[in-house]
Amino acid sequence: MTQLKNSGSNTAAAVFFAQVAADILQRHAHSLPDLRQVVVVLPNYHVAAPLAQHLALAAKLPALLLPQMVTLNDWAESIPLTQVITPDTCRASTLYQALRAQNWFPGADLWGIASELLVLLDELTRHHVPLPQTEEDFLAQLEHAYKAKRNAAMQFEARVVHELWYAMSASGELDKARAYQQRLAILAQQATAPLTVLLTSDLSRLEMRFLQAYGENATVNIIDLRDIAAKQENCAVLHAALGKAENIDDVHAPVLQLREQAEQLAAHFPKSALGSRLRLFAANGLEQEARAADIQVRRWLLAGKNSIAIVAQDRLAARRVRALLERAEIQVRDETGWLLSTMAVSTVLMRWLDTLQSDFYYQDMLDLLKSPFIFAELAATERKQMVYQLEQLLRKHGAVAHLDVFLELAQNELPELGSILARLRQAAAELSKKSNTLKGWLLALERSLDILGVSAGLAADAAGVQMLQSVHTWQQELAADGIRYSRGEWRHWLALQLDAVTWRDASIDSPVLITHLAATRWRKFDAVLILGCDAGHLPSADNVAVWFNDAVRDTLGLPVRAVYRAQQRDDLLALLVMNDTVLATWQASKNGVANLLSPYLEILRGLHQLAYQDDLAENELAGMLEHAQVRSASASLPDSTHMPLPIVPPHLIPQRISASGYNSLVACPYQYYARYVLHLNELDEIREDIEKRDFGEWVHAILHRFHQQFNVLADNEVIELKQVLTNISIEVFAQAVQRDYWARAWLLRWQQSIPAYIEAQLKSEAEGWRYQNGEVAFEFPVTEELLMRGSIDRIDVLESTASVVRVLDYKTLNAAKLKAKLKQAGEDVQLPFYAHVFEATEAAFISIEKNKVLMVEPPQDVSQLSHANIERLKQVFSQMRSGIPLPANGLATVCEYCEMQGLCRKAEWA
Amino acid sequence: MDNHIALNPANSVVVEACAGSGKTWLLVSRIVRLLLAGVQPSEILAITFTRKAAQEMQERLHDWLHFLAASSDDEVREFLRERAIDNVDDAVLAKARGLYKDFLLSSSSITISTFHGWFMQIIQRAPLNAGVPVGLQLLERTAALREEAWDALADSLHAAPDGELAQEMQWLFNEYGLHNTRILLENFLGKRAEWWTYTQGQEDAVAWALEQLQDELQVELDDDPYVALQDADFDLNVQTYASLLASGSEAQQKLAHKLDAAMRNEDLPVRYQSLFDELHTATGEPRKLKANKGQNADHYASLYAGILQVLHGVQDVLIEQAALRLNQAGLRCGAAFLGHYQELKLRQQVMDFTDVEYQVARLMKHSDSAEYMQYKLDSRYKQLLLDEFQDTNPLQWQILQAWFEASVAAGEPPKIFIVGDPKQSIYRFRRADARLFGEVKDFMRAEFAAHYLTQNETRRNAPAVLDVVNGVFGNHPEGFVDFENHLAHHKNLPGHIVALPLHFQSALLPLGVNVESNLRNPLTEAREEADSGAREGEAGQFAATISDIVETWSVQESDGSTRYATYGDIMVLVRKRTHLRIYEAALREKNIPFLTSRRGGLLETLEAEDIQALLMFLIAPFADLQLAQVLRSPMFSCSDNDLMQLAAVEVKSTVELPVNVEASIPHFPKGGLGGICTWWSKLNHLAIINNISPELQRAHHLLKNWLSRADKLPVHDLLDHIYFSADLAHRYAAAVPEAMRTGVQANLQALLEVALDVDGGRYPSLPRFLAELRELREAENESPDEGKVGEVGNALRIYTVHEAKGLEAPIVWLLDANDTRSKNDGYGVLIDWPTNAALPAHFSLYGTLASQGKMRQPMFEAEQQYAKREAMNLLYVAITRAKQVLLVSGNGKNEEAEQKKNVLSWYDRIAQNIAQTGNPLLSKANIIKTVAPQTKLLIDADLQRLLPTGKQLSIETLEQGRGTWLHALLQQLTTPGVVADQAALQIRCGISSAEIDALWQQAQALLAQPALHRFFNATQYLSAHNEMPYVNARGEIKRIDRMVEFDTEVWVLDYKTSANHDAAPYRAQMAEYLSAMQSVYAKKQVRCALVFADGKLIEV
Ligand code: SF4
Repeated sequence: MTQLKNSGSNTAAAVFFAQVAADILQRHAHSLPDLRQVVVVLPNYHVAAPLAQHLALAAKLPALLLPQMVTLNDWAESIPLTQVITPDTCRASTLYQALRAQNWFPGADLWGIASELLVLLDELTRHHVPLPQTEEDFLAQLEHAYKAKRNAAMQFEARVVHELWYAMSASGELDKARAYQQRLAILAQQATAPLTVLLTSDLSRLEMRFLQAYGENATVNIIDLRDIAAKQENCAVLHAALGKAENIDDVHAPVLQLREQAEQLAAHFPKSALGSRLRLFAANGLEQEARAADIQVRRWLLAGKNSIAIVAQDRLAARRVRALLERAEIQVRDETGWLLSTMAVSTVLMRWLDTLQSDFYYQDMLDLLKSPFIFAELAATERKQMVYQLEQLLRKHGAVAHLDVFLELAQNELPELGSILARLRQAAAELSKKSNTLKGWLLALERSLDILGVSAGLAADAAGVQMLQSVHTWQQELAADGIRYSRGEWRHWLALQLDAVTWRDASIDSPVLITHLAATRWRKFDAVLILGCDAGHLPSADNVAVWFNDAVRDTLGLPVRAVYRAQQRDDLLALLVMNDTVLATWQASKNGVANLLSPYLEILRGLHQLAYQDDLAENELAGMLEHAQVRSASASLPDSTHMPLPIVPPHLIPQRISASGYNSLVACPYQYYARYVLHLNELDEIREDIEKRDFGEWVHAILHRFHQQFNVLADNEVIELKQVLTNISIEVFAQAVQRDYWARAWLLRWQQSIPAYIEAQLKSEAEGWRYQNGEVAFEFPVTEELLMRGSIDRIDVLESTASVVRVLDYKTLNAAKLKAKLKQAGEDVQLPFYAHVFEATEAAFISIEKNKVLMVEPPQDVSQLSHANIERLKQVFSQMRSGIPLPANGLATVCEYCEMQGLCRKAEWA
Repeated sequence: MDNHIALNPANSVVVEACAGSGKTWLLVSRIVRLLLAGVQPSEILAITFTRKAAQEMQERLHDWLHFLAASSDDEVREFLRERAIDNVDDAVLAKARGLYKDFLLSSSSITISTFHGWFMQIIQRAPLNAGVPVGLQLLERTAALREEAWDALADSLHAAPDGELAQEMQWLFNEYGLHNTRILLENFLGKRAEWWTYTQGQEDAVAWALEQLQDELQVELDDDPYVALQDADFDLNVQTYASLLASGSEAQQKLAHKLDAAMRNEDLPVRYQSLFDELHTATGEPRKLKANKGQNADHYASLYAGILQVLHGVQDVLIEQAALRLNQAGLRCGAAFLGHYQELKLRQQVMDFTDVEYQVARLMKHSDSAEYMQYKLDSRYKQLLLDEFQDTNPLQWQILQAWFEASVAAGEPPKIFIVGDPKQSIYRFRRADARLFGEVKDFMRAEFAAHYLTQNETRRNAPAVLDVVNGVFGNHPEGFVDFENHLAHHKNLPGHIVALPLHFQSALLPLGVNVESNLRNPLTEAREEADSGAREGEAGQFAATISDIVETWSVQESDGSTRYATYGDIMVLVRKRTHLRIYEAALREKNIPFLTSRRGGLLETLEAEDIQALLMFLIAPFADLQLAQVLRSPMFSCSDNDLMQLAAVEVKSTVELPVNVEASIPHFPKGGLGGICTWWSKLNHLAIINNISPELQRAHHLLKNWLSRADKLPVHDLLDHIYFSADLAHRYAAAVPEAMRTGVQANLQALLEVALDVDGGRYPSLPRFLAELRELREAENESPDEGKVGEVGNALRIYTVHEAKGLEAPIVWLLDANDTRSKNDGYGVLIDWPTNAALPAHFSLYGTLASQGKMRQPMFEAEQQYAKREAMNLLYVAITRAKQVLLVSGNGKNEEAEQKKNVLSWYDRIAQNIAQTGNPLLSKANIIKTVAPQTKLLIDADLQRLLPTGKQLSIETLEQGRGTWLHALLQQLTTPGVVADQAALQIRCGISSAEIDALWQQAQALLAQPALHRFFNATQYLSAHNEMPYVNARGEIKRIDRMVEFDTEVWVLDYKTSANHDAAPYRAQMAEYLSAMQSVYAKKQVRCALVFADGKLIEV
């Protein structure tokens, strides 16, 4: 099976350039060596150099004054106009206001509609489509085109377009499209220079007319690649599959069937000229496609090719490939570029506006402050340090929003942060207006960015510079525009603007470049890689226009989908005939779902398969994917993971232990190790709403205060008790309720337990128990190296014999769960732990639920239990000292909620 | 079934086709027939249930068309014959061959799509005045926005804490608590489409809905439910009854006292409650109170009955009132919640699927716009094909109907082809309604003279499997009435059914009441898994059996050959994901590669969490736990000793970190945050005094590097750099068990692609990306496609039955099939939407299922019936996935529990229908397929090496910049016709504002130089050219800054901006110009000169 030739350079293109050169020289033989009066219209400037070289080659003169080689656009641009051109920014604004005034689209995104409309209006101009005088006629036109009788919807559409079209044209302003029109007209009038035009596909109606007009005053010579390629033997298959005649949409063309074509080809050209030029690689997903592309490009480089084009039909794939190439330190020249809106430079800008919008919601603000472009005058290290401090401050206090809150916190704890927060406030002031003109907003924006040191930051970045310039330009363009907008409206406008600006990195020079199909017309490369050749990307999905449909556009004389597709097919054809080393890749399946090849290539493949029993499949790369990658494998690979068994050196063994610590130790020694030896714990989250945790704390606080007030309830009125307890509750919850509405629900929930609690308390008093103390902090030596510490919720004593003690712990859990905890002796150590410290013989959880309060006691004998519990504690610690490791042996149920999963790596143990 | 009818383009057809009967074949065949009959692609609309199915149809269509274009005449004839075209003349043949190219190159394209795909098309073309906001984006994940709406609701309540709404909310809190309230309101939100439809046209939707409900429940909130108690007869009744009792047994006397006591209570509610409690058991059943001997049994009984009747009367009223109250509060708050949600979406210019659906329905019902849509879309559908119709929901059906009508109105009634299978309707939770199928059948017959065909022959399942199917469903259990026996197409496809013995809980361990025995020592003894037994048992057996099946059982290929089974052949089905972890653990233990569909699967895997931890660290280097995780992960595989070394560091807050440690955060100065000392600063510290393990060294080195890039690179590029520089793929591969490797690799890859997608979005940043991930994690995938499980080599796949829809496998295993619990935890919405009705007949909320109330009972029961039926559908789908082998396993409490239970589990139903036979798949595979080893060509070693290519262009210095700008200015200023407008030229030449003035002066001055006058004043020369290009014999292109032609001379001018006037460096260049131009202007004298910025001219 033939594969792409991996050496030598493009010979296919030479043929065509030679033809063009010969043609030009022959036409202008008389004026050699000075061709300056000749004009050659190029699709793009990359074509100039090769053409010039071929001219020189053919002319064989010491010097040849080159013809004027120019793109139609630039040529037109060079024609001066007396009237100034109204920039689109202004037109959009005018249109926006018109829409707002008409109130045609209540609640809709008017900027979106406005820009849609501009596109349509420009199209109408560009394609010489005059709308009928009256709305009525226009409507009739639509009716006819839609092949339907008129109705409200249609009338509305007609009216909007018709009115605005006339409104805009009436203004007598000169927009880009019109200017272009006029300039071409002038060019045609003044036409003297003989003209040669290089084409790959049909020109727009406007441009065709121009050439006709021009032709009346001077010679016009059109060279269409499709035509000369058609005569080229080694393009036979391409021509047969994608050539002009095959344009299905012109009905007169005789359509040959695949088999007939194949037979003809095989008969005329027994050997395929295409097989060695084009290959198709079917990938089973994005990654494979990218890797294949990466490898092929590197193979070509190694084979000495020094102009390699990557045609990015699929942007994602292209990014992936670029990243992979950069792994091999291959830099890529990118002709496609980036939309500003997808770049960090606009992130900083938009995040700043978000921050204002959300009144300094912490996520927006921190995101803003972490941008590399802000506070440019500070050293990166310094800036970051400040931001990190601020973030920790906010986390510590759970501060969610409001600059003032942050400022206050900073004042108290981190005055050094005052300066940056102050600058935020100052910058915010700049944009505090209710409404303003677009220019006004932009100026304010510029000022605020100066204050934040963002302007300076952006100025140091190529894309940033372009953004600043754009903002500046808009701001000048809109100088005269007096319409006022709310900040929201303006922000939306800005977003659309950023979507419209493309930034290209001109700073890289490389033999490898990324470009789009349309930019390859008449260009030659040593090798071409077309990425993303699936049906979805080639032809690229056509964008649905809100206005009309193809039928209407057609009758109006606007280009229809078919035209854009034909365009792309011509471009593909041109690319394939101009270049003799091409690999087209596509994802034949995306996560398990089939994905079709581009219809053009599918036809090509089908034809080639039939004619030459070769389906053009590339089948070397697949085998190389695994091993042809660049790796940075300096370090040796790790062994397979096993259960960790850390041995804690004496100096790290904790000297104090709390009940929860001990619980952790019992549940999983490694968890204990991570928490209390490594002292690792989760970051404080800035929680925006209440959680069970807070609830528990508040209940504790409430009951503590309550019992401080009432050691004994018995001799009080239940009503009164309820009242007091309720009041305390409200006080304790007050702050939360202030901050978060849902806190009320928690309060209610607790209040529903109050009667039950009092009842339960009275009951226990009746049994002779008396509240003795609550929230008692303690430290209690176990051994000389170990201290028990903590704080107990509550201690009761038996009235009769003050010696009998009961330790109690409030839990907002249901009794069943608590029972389960206590079922197995020693697995939940909290109660025995306290019991030991306070020499209690009784212990219980107090389970507090919605209108249900229960005492839950361990099924075992408490004093025995607490004794055994301490013995074990001593034993375990002495074992630790004697170097016994701490295994990660938690139960699945423990692991599920364990924050140390990432440390013990349980999920990947061998 | 007769394909002549089904495929005939002239017919409208409804096909009820059983699982595996080749629906896709049928649909695509019909499409081919349509194209053959000259139907334009754009006139065809095919709707399937998932994107996957749509893609498959597309692919199949292409393959077939290509086949027709490429194959021999006979093959083509045969192909057409199979599709019921009998006499194929040359014309047909030619046509058939032509289809391929026509189809591929035609710009009118066929629509094969999901409902939502199609709806989106419609919405995008919606009439501009239809009130469908223009240019909305589709919102695929709503979780985050619902959350926001919830907060918004809170804020609005907060603003008016005593307002009406707030009080309703308080009421809900009181009754149900925050949690259930939220569930209730979320469920309401989930049914918004029904809600809108139900209340459309009502300006106060809630009030109206409440009125409806009030009528249905036949109560009012202010009715006094207790009136009946005050009735004198009732008093009398009770007293007589009590006195009767008083004369009776001790128990009876007790009761008599109680009743009297109750009656004496003045507070009616209390009286009612105590009476009720006395006469009912704890479960609310009336107590069986028999008369004793000597008591008049009848009298006794009638009295008792009378009392109960009154009490129950009261009870009913109370329940209905409660229901009404709940709806009053629930609907008000729900509507408010919904309001916020909708508003948020509008503000962000997005629509969710429900909106789209509802909007489209609205459009289509409005005849004007319906008609408009008909022609607005560039395709007038003459042929509709609807797949999986049983999954259509009422709204979608209405849309279709409206569409039909509109096209009839437009005078182009379409032909409609409907395929479906009510037995496979399992998407009720997505509001699908299988009952529609029956309705539609009739509708189609009536309106479109449709033919009705059934297909009960399956091309998928082996006879053995079908025996089970027929056995289980033959007697129409749980309203499975529409079942007809299935026939096998492949009569001798070997099959096998296994029901593995159930697993029961091992007897529980005795309670550790006595503590003499020492407590467990956690260091030396792991704790016993508490509920070890039942499920774990099943899981173990499952894994064991799998590894036994693979390589010993043989499966049959489509070509009839057999080969040994691989993991890839096995599909494991569960009803819900709840316990997947346990089964997965078992698989891991046995080193069985598998792909799971566990929710959030990707982002919750350890490897993905490692990456997220790393990124978190990169934006917040004080995140110690995250750093520790990263260190321990295979990325760096640091040991616990490394960690302990770090933990032990006591960085004095005075330790000086060299400033060059860019991006490392110096730990905070005292006073800062209590002199926090992060692990990262500790690591820096250790790295500097450098006594650390190579692992830590490496970690420190790389992390530092990454920190410095974190805020500069786009996320994907950053990740790729990390993956590469850490050699991530290989390190993980080395660290994790064989069985997990493929999965881990796939996950790491997937994460990269997520980054790629998110990067594509606007205003990217690392923090935003992490937020996105958090959101992705919480969000359920709401687009109506099955959860996606990428295909990876040879691995067993675990799906929920829902996800398995449309899939098949040689071997299917139903896990956990003995679970009979059906979940409805209450706090939902009760809807009655009669099929084919324009809108729901009933819409109300309910709390706990316990208190349904008489009035809504029938609807609840209907619901439950339906639920049961759907459960059977689910089972049907599950079983019919199996081509050859069906295994079923399960677990339970214990034997007698099994005996006692009154519902049949899936396990039972299948087990009952197994005819014990040997396992034909144990027969040796005849062809042992060995996977062809990939053509291993030896790799050019250079491909594994770096290949530095391309370079950063040196950035222009300001000097050079000025040079180019001056050039540009001069060129512009000396081009005829160019207006000398500074501002304009500044923009055109892209000159910075800082420079323009100076340059402008300079240029003007230069041009004004008398010495240069002759070169710039058009009156003084014949012609002049700026930037004039020529090409020399060597093909090199040169540019001459300005060439001025006089009668006898030609001057070549070259602008120079260098300060000194030294011409030496330029002589060679000028000489080249000179000779070149001399060759052009043979008759004139060519002279060259340098023109310096200050206007000095030096001839050379
Ligand atoms: S995940 Fe489980 S094993 Fe690992 S530390 Fe936490 S509890 Fe222990």
